[in-house]
Amino acid sequence: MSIGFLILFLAIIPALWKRSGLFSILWLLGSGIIAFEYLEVIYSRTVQDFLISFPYPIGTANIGISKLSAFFGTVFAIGLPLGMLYGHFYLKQHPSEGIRSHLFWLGILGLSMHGILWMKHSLLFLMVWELMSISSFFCVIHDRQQSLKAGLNYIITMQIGAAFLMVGFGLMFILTGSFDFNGLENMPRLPMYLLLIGFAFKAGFVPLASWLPQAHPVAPAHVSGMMSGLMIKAGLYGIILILLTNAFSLWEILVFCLLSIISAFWGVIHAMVSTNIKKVLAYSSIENIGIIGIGLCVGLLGKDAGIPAMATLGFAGAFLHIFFHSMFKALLFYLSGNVLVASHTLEIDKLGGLAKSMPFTAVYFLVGTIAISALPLGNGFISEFTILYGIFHAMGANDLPAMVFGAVLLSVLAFVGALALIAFSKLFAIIFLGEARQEEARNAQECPRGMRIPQLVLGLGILATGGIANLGLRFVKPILRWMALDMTMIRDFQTTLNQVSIVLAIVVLLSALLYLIRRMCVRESISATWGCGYQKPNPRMQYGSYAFVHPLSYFLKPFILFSKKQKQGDMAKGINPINSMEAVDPIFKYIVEPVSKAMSWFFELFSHIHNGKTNSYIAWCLGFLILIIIWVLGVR
Amino acid sequence: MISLLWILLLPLFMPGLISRVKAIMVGRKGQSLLQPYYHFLKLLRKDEVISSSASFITRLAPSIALSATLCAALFVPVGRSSSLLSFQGDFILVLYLLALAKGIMVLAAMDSGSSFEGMGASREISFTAFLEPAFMLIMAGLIFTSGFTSLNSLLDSYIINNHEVWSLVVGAFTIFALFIMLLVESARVPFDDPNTHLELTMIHEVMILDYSGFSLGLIHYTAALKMLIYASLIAQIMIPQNAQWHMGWYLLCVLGLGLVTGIVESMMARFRMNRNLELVLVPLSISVLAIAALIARSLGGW
Repeated sequence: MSIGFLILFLAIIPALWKRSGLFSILWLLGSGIIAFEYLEVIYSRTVQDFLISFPYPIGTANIGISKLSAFFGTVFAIGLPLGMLYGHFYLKQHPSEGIRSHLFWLGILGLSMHGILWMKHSLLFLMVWELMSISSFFCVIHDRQQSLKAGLNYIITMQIGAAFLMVGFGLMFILTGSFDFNGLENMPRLPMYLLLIGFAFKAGFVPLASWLPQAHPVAPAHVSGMMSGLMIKAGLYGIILILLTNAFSLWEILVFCLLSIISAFWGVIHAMVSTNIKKVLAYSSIENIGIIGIGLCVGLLGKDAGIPAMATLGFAGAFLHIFFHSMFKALLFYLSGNVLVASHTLEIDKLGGLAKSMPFTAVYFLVGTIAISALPLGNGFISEFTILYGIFHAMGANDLPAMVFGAVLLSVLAFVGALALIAFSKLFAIIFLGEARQEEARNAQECPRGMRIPQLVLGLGILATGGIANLGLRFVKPILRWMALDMTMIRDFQTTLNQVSIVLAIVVLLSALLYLIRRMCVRESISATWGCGYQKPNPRMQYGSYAFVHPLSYFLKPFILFSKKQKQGDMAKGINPINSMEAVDPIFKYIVEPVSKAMSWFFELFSHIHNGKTNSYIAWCLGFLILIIIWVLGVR
Repeated sequence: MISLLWILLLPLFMPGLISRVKAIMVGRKGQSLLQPYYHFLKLLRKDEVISSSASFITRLAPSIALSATLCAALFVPVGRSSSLLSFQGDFILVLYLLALAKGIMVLAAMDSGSSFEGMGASREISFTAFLEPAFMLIMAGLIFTSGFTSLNSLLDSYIINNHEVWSLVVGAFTIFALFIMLLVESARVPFDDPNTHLELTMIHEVMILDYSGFSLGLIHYTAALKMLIYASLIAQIMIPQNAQWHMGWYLLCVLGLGLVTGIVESMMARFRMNRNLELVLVPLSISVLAIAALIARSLGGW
């Protein structure tokens, strides 16, 4: 393990020399070793724990790894090097001056993500946690101009989250007298809630998730891929850590349920109406966090109601979704980078018809779309299948909360899945199908081969874990066993998954057969699209992104806030009127913005202190000293 | 194996029957019941004209849609003979396979770059948002009576008991919800009018405007097969418990559904397009009612 981490530390040296190629190769090498050793921890019982003595106030700190953190570690060790590799090729297309600091902070980000999994001491944990937030902030603001505002919003949100964590851990120290994570078992309620809220900021639960759709569109593609696919999982790691070691009352579970449902629903309806590729993906991350939350809720409900199959499958589905989401979300973010490189825009209504000029990107994007909308053949289906399978065990089990919330979660999962299908079929269709809507898309060229390597790996991974349905479960099973869940029905479930794989194989073979028959027997002739009698269709007449979701967004109007802009035209002068409509995030508009305005107003009050006059600074110092003397003497 | 034969042969009978019923209702003689078969075979022999905007999706979509729908149909029991494939919880896979077929066809419609097809695609995919949860809840409702098993045994052991009010009510709810789903999913009046002459007011037909020949044949077959799946689900619920001639009952129910669909089509006008979605909510709300009733019953009623 130490060799792997040594290599990752060494990777910072080429980063300082701007050698991103060597940097990513070292990351691939180091992560390979680390992933192997994490897997060893998962599958065997050897757990590496170190006791390290630090000077006061840290004291003796326990640094080690459990099966849970090894699971997250494996996910990180698979995802991070692919992101670094993509970043290497992506930065080549986007040369900029800040590459040295960017690579440096990228390395720190990856290391700190591994680091928080090892820390079992709350002070050290908080330090590494802060390091992760700060390094990801510096990664986000790679191109300084546009991204600074969103980046600042991100770092401030993270600091608020960290403040909750600090208070929570501080209270824990006051109550138990120790910084060790052993104190997390059977916690008192108040610090537990504070910790959960702090972690939820990072994970992106509504209403704490407004930083996601702000930060992702401006960050470089590899950074948003790694943050959305992997870093927000660090928040989930914290939440699961607390969920596993505490007993919850039914009401607490129901509140968690409700928050997860709201996150999933909120995320997906905004993903549906957004028109920026990365914004859609960011909102969909919120949705997927909600789905993972639903999985965890199913597990907790199953435990509470005494339905072991439900508990096991709920947790299994949540872990599977964590793993799979890290793959398909990262893939889709990297592909948005491809689109950006090729067409220099992320606005989908300017794109169109890219499937013909960028066939590889289109195929990978289709794989990602299938996975994220939980269609069979993609791996998103397997995790949702597991969660749904767990929920169905509650039906007829004579437990009112399990049944009622089972039915609610069932319909929410299906509803959210269908909306995700709409959101992502829109995304794929508008970007890749039809004809180019504007010049940018017309001149798009397929990206260099290097950028497609990590995407190929991720795409194959998605198809493998989606096709061979058991693969993911094999990975998750040791953790479920470690959680002391009932494993008797897992064997049956594995047979079920095998049968699913067989059916999927039949689907693939049958469609390949039909396709080949068509290919052999049918002669194609090319002609213009049938315009229904209209003689001069042009690409701008194609169905746009908003039109595509209009039937539903009209229906879901109460939940989505649209801001309409109208610009009067003057037909005599040849100025066309412009009407535009954009979905805005109500949480951001009505909570985050007013709060930040109030905060800056408050701090403005103190800005007179900084007036540039030396004598007044000396006066402040004197005043401060006098206050201190009074305080010390008064205390004495 | 016999059920596979039924699944392969029966689908195209439904559209023929419906159009015959409609013709008789308006006083025409109507086409032969086997006309869709002739049409299908004719299309299979033809070459294709492909839109110049089309990418690989257009060429791939019909075969994926047909094979996904066919695999979903393999889980549906036909008459007494049990379905070809079945495992615990297979109905989740059935639902998602149907969604896969629908999703890929929607993408294919967007592929041509025609705004009419985009319109159809957008309408078609909007329906899934309310139909998927409805299907899930209906299945959850069946589980209350039969336990968590496969689709086949769920339907097999589901009995509407004439002497119990609960079971009658829930059964009626379930059948009604499934029937509306059938109307929506197979693009029938009042949600969609397959015979209309204006592309603006179509849903399913407008999505496939640019398809021709072999692919169009596959698409027609897929649509008919999907209708048969829903019709079979309803038929299996309606077959009385100790019926002697299962296959006869099954055929009676399926053909009866075709008849009812034809009559509904002749008697009703298509609903307003932009308010269609409100009506698609009906199966969802009915299934919510059914599941509420079942939960209440399993806790001892009131």
